[in-house]
Amino acid sequence: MFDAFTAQFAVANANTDADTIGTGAGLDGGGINEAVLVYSDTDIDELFDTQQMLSDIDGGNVYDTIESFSDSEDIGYDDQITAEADVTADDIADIILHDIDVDGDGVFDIRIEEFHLDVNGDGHIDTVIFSADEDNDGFFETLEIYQDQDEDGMFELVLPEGVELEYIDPSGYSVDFDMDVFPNYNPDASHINHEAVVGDPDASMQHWEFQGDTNRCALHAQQFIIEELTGNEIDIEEFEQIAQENGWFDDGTSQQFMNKMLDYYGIENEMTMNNDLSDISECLNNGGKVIVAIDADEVWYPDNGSVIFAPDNPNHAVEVIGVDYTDPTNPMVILNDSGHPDGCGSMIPADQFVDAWNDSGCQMIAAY
Amino acid sequence: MDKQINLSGFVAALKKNSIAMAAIPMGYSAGLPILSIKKKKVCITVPFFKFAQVNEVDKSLIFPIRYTLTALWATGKIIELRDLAYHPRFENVDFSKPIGLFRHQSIQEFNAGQYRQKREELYSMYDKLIAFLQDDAEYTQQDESEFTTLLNIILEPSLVPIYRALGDEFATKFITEKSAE
Repeated sequence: MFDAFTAQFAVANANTDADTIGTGAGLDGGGINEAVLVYSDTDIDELFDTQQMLSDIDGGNVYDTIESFSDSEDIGYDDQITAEADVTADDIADIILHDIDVDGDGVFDIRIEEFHLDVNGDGHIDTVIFSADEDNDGFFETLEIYQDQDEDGMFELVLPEGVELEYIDPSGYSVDFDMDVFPNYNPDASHINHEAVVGDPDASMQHWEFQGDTNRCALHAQQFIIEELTGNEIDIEEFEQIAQENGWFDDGTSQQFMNKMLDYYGIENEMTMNNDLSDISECLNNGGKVIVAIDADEVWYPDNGSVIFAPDNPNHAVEVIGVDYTDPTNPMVILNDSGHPDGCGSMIPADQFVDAWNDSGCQMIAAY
Repeated sequence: MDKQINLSGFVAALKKNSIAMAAIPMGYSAGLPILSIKKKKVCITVPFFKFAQVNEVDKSLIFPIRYTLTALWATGKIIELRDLAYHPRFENVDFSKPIGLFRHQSIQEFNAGQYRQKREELYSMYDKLIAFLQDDAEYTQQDESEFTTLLNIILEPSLVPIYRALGDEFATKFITEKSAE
């Protein structure tokens, strides 16, 4: 309950009329003003633009809360409200809340909260928690903690802890390739009708290499083609370095970059999606070379019974070096597969190959 | 974007996005998505990590999440691509070392069909949650409980610390602590 206005004051600056006036009110009849309202003309335009309410909330005869209402743009209403509270009674604001109407539409857009804390209890503020809801949706997009850990008066941003992981020892596990999972092309095999074989797998097989425990499959596929088309041998280490330096290889190759080394070596090529086996055959028939992206698990481990963790995942690049139509009802796709130790001229049933190829969207690079 | 699309289709389309196909090497699989709200818009963050089959049935080495792709649910627009190898919070992570072994304990008893079914159920619950976040549908305590249960069955435990770092709000709400097996 207000008793009488017990004090009014006016402060004049040196050049104009009073730019600050205040009025006090006692709220509990105790003879002390628990609230003081101060009006200020901070921009000296003879209009009061800021009002502050100083309150003694806890009745300790010390003003512990200041609320500031500011019409910063002289638009006729308050577009900034700041509330400061000294909850520890040390004359330093511990909690500061800001509400800001940025666009002048009468709705506060930004809420900022600051908490000033003395974590170590030495009487000095050492931690500031800053949070901001920048679009007034109730979610604080920014949460930062600043600490003066070295007590030099400078608050540094405390970064979130780094991620620490526990690793498992892979030495007990290995990739055990099944060396009998597919047959290999043998140009001397009597059952093969060479007229029905598209491409020149025998020649291409001369350039095959096993990639070992690397992710160089796409590099090897390009290497095989460049060597065959140019007659020049390529050192895979140098090849990888070029690819790395150009951003085309980083512990693996993205689907989009599977032809970049062909470009680099000036090999004409075209990358397309949604192809079928006839596109591969046509390219090979015309003397071209083919690289595709497949899900190698479907080729290397077709029946191992595992619960496949990530089906439909292209994870490997291979060169298709031929298609054997000797049995037209069961064509066999012939690969130079750098990822399998027995991948030189490996022969995969067409249906199985297409299933594995589908996972990449039937991506194909035709090189000439 | 077609509002009928489900999260599974959304992720499949994201993987074929030219940005993903250029930036993420082959062999990285998409993990369970993280949901968030940015500027009042529902965002989907898809983590990508490698795994490697080994010489035992149902044993695959799991490697740390390396890439994340974040897109707006409403439009499919990619708003962020991150290579965590260059992220300060992950500077102590060795992405070449395995951190887990699939299959983990909670899915040991599933056959392939049962596992696929559980994943489909989980993605259905993702769709419900997304619909709720978009203010399009109701979402009950039962829905939240079911989503949480399925998520924690399917999610590989060794990836949990990374999920916490990538989406603290999502992880705090939906992921329960469990040790890697």
